[in-house]
Amino acid sequence: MKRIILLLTLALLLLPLALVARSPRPTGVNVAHTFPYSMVGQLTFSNGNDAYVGSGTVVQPFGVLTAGHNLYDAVGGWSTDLTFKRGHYDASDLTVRTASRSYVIAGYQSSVQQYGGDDVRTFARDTGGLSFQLRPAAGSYLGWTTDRDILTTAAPKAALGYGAEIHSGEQLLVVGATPFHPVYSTFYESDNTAIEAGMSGGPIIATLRDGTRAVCGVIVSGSDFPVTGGIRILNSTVSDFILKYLIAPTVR
Amino acid sequence: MAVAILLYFLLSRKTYVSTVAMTVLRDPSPGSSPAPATSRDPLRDPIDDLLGKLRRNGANAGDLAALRRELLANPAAGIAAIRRFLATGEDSATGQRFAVGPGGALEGSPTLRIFLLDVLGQLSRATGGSAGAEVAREILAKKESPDEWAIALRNLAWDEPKSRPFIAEKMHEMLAYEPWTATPTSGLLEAFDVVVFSGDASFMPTLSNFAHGGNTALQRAATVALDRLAENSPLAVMSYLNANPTMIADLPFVRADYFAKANLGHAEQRKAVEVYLDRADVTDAEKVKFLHAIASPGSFVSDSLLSTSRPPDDAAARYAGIAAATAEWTRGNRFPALGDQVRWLFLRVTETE
Repeated sequence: MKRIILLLTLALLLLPLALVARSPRPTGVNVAHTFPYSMVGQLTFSNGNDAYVGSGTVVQPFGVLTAGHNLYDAVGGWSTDLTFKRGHYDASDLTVRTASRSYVIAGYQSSVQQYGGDDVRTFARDTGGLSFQLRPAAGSYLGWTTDRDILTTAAPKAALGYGAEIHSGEQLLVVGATPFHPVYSTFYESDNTAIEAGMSGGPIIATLRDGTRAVCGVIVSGSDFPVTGGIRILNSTVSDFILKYLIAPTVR
Repeated sequence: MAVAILLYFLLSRKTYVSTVAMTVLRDPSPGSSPAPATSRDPLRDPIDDLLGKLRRNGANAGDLAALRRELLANPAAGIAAIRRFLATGEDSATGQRFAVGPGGALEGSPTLRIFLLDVLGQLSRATGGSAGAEVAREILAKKESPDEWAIALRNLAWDEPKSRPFIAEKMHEMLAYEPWTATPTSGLLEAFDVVVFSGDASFMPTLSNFAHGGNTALQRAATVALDRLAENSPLAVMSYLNANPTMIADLPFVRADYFAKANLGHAEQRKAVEVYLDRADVTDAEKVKFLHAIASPGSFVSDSLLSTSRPPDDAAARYAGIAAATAEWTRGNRFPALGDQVRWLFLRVTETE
């Protein structure tokens, strides 16, 4: 009896947390096919003997921004069969493209093997991108911002991606994000913003002061307790990366 | 097809404390002859001023940047002042982390000597001189600081690019020096880029040992260096792997990635790939990984001491080489066990918008 009471008490204590947490929900096909959300896509890929689902955003005519851990694993090596399905929603896609190159921002001092996959210092560097021979959005793309105030204030912003933990991974999900706060370097978290596996690599899209919308972060982690969503913010390093590696080659 | 999903876990929240500035005093280098200024030295004075500030913990990044500007503005005097200061053996910690920026220049220097060695290398390179190499050879004659070795190797490579064999020899020496590899500094980790610069595949056993060792920092540096070495010197790496079949054999998918750096439009590289695909000791699963990876090879990108990360190439040209090779392999039934995958690769690289 004492044990049941304890469990009930614990459940009651946790209930408010569950109620206040924001959870991802499907956008519906119309929103998924409307700019700027139509620049987000499902990313499927193989690594080792397994197939995975993640997310990405068209940020250049020939380039997609995603999370670095979608692209490389210490044992499986570089991911292959990287297929970007823009506007994917159940059976419909706006475009389907396969990547011709992948890039991960990582130097000799940084990243997964040094700190471990779940270390905040790894998440701080967890950024990658895909380059395509064929344009994923007929030349359209979503811009980005390095303005951290957008992230840390109440400015409207949403996390998007193809959640495959509770949902099927076949529909674009969206969750409104509370203000982010810095955890370590370029790794920021939003409390009570739930992120599903599969949304990894998806964007945080914010509305700027002039009303336009732009990517201001890449989803890299999530936790269930406490409920938080983790992102790699876009700074000058990522901005340079996009402009150097995700642009079109000189000859097409 | 089974679809696995990426899982995430709660992050451990920790506080990371930055390095506390400390002062280091060295004995003057034996064999070098410090030349104490008998009259006021217009550029030596600012170096001494900064040394004094650092020792009083009164210097900041702006002071270092100001000194850099002053030294770079007057190359001849800057080189002379730096050499005179380095010869004294004096030093002080800056509180900065060893960090490489664009073009291999440092964005962070943990000591004043490393800061000055970095500026000296830039000045020597810009003026086409040999001061950077001369000081580098002095530093590489003794093992006092792995961070100084890293910059010395870079400066030597900048001033004397034809000295690759000597630079590779010193890099082998650096990686074999247990007191340094036991607790690798940031400078030692960044020096792994010297391996990439050398293009020398004989580093592979050493890198492989580090990649499999217990030191996570060395694991990471070696993993990145192996991948970049394969990207920058694909023929040397593929030839080495074909001649040493047990090398990286326990990471077959990673080994496949090294072959996936090949340019199949290049006759010798294509031949090395064909030898690999003919090998009985390589599993079909690894060969299939190669055939899929070559359509979209990956790269680690960052600012490095010597090598340059490769920006997007002309996929159409690369794909033309793959298309020609796979068409020929298909016509001649060159790799029967891989026939379907070879045909898939041909279709993959010939698709149009």
